[in-house]
Amino acid sequence: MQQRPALTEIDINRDLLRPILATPMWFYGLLMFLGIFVAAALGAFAWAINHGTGVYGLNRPVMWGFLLVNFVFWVGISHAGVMLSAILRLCNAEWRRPATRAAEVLTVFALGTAALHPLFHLGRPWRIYWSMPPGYDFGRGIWPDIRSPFVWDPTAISTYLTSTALFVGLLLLPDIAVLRDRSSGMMQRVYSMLSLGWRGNTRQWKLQVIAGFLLSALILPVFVSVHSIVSWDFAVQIAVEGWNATIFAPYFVIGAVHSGVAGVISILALLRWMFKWENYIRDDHFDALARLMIVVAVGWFYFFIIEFMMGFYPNEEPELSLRALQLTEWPFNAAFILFALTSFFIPVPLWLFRKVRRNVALMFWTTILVNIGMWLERFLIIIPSLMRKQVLTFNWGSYNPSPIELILVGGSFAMVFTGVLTFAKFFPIIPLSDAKEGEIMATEIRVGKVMVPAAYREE
Amino acid sequence: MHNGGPHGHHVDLLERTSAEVNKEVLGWTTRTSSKYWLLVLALAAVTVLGVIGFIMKAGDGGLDSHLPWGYLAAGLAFVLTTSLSAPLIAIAPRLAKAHWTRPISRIAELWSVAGLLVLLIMIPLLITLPSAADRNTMWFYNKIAEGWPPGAPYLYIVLTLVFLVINGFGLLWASAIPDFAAARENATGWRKTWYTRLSLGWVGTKRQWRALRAGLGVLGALYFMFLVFAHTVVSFDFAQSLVPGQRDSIFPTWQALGGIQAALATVIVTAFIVRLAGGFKDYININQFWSLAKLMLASSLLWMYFWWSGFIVLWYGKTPLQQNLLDLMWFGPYLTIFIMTILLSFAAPLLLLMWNGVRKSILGPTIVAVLILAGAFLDKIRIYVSSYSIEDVNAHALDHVPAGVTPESADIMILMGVVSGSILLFTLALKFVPIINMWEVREGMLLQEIRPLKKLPLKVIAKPE
Amino acid sequence: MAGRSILGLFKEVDEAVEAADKLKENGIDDFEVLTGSPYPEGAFGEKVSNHRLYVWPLVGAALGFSIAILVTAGTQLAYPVVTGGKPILALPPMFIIAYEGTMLGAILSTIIGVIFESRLPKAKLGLYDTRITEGYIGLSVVVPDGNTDRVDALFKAANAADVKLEPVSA
Repeated sequence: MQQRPALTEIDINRDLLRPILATPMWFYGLLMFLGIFVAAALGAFAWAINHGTGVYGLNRPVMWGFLLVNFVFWVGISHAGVMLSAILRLCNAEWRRPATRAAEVLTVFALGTAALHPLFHLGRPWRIYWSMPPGYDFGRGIWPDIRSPFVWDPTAISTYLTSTALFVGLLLLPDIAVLRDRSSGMMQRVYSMLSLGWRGNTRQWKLQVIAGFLLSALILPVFVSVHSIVSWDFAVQIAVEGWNATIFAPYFVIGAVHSGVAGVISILALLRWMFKWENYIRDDHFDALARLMIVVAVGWFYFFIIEFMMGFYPNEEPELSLRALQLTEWPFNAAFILFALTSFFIPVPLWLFRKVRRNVALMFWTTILVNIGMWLERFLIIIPSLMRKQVLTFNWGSYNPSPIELILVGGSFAMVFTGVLTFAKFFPIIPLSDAKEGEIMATEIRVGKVMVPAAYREE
Repeated sequence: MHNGGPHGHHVDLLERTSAEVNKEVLGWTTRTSSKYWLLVLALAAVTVLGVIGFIMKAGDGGLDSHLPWGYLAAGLAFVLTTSLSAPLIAIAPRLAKAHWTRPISRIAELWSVAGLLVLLIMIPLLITLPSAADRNTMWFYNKIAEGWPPGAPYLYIVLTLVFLVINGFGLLWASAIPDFAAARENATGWRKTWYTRLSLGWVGTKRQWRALRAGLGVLGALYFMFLVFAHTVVSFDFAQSLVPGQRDSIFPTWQALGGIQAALATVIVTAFIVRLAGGFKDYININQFWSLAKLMLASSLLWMYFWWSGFIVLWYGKTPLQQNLLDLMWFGPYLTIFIMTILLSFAAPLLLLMWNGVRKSILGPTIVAVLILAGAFLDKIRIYVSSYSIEDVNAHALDHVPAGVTPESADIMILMGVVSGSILLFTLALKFVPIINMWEVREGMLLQEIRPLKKLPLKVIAKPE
Repeated sequence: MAGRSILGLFKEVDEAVEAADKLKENGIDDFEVLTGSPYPEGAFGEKVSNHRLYVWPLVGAALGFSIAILVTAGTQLAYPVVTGGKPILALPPMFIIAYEGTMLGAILSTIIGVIFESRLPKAKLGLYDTRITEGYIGLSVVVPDGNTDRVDALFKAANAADVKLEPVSA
């Protein structure tokens, strides 16, 4: 990358371990503030358990509301981890270095939060164990029906969550060793135990590098399958107009990448501001990420156009009624316009300009816009379709979210941020080993009078 | 030069001066041997055979109905999928500033000359295509207003394919301007005239290089978008919209992805032949095959994923229409072809390319590429022949699955002629346009070197802004 | 004679490379290089180590696939209800669950494999210095008791910042 102040290992240790070894006071204040919202969300859930799911605004036919929209949203955000970490690792992109762990950690907490939503949704959440064998009441010979996407879901989500969490943990080993060497007291003992005796010999480093590649290649298929399976919760159903489309799987996956990478960019901007990491999360990282976002956004937009256009293609009344509802009736028409503007038509033209891509504040706000748009996208897919406002049905319904649902949705954002910040308090959110490796591999090639930034490439 | 890493891996960097690069590449471009002309003659003969097959079929069934022309439509789709998708292999890595595509980018771009064949085949297919008036098409003809949009689908198919081909030629020409300029210096006769004309007075000022890069970026991005749109249009108008009741939203995207997979395979096979025939082993080495193999593995996995996404929705629903569609497309009369396609386009690439030893070789990816091309060929036949076999295109839904259409001798001649015709156009072009992109290769030599990192010789790669 | 570990600590990378060369000139080519950041293997002229990591994901994948097929087939046969017209042993959903099982098996066993092949977990850290994670390079060698002085001198000649000797066990 173009600008790089030379950093020693001592500089890197000091800067990137500051949140852990010299945590500023505002950090605790922020955690406490977020904790209020988390507590509110847990309280709302307790209220729902106590009073039943009638406290939600759900009813026939809109049996899935904000909670499912939020579920799909957070599963989508969780896709950023693998996209950035795995694909950029496999492509040997140097600019992945500060983003990988932040993306992976965002994945873990976003996915964990998403996994809570079916729990919120259940009439009897204490029976959640019925969704996996042998949890079901097998004493009476009843087993989960694996033909249903609602059994594929927990399988995929638990696979992805387990894999990503272990992936983060494995690649954390060298950084935990640094913490072991730099900390004292009780924390030193804990880090010592967690480091598993890491010494940093050539074999251990070599296996770390290979593990990065191999696990990236193995997790990528899982990442594709997770949101595909979530999309099939909707797409395989023949009864709901607007859902029975074959394109849902890749459409959801690329939408997830779109919102997920935007989420990572937002997080990186916040981390850069909070911890003054201008030397580590540089302008050229945002530049490269924004260019990736343009490609992903254009791809996503193509899928969206095809999906939307195919709604009109069969020229059938029920589906045309649904599209009319989405485009012309309040509040869906407003939501549609807002969705189109925020997810594509405002951010993407802006990202075409280098000045915008290298402006951290603009990148932060445009990526926030993208995620507002992507939340609205899932809202527009789920709720209008379920309202069944077609000819020849007596199943018309509407939906108003209840305060409990709103608290749970808002609280979910606090849960994810709390999770990421808590992680950042105990483990380095920017991989030390990656940053140090970047310094080792950075070099230059002379071309005439110019020194062009270059990198060593290990084949 | 090799960097002998401790694993015994070696990564080759080209060691030539600029003058040597020009001499070797231009030398092969301007030299034609008797073997070359024999190949041209053989390809021309098979192409003529295809024309004869077409005339036989046109005379027999006439151009009144679309029913006999499924195999011709499959031929058009196959050329679109292989030859016209190949330039993507030059465009995408160039945008990502990858160095490994430099020696093969011209091979990829040169395949756009087969677009002329596509435009030719398009004509009888348009003549025989049923009117869009009483059926669903992507143009929503007659749905919003009577007779609107005018000329649908014919006009828009023509515009799409014509723009795609012009864009492809434009991209090829633009990327070759500096090489034409290098060629004009030592050329004689008609070559000198044409190289001089086509090089547009290029001298290589900074302003010209900047304009060229910007132009390649724009043309490349446009080509990508046009290609995806062309796949969408062709797969809708010549396949999906001929099957009443089919509403497969992933189908056009799946076809575009199949194009990417086939493009990689086309470039690998061509690169394999060119490096042997032209003596370009130092230019086109393990780097190119390794990178292409990795992409081919990824695209094969994605191909299967897209197919599965389409399948699971149809399988799960179990409505009579969905079951008929499953039968028509995959599990009915074309089951054998479908199984072979899965084996050739997915199973073989996965089981072979999952091993690093196979990926990192010259022969391994080439063999897999040949299998993928065979799979793509069979897949196009399955899709377009089955779609063209439906008599009543104006029905509301597919209520019965017609019997499989076996190829007549004329169909076989047509298919052979189409494949041979596209290879013929490429073969003729490669003796005019330098087959290795000389300026990109020379630029690559400036931006890569082997340098020791302490005790270890490693490749150093620069990526200027 | 029993072997003892001796660790040389070097502030500059080139000093460590020079020390490694000297070790090899003196017939000691089995040394361990300890770094706080990943250098490409062979950068210090050390021996290349072989590993069998690639076996692990294959074994894990096979195990995961088998378990998934058993569970899905078993539960469908144990509770044979026709849902939505689908067969009792419905292959497409079985494939989806088997796919997840295969990948989970492969990933779990790869992670175990990496830890195992890295010769972790290790109860004792061994001869080590915390300055390694601050950029110092450690060269660790096991030599017969009588040879430690020679190696000590060798390290110091290469400008070692510190030389540590493994304590003699009682």
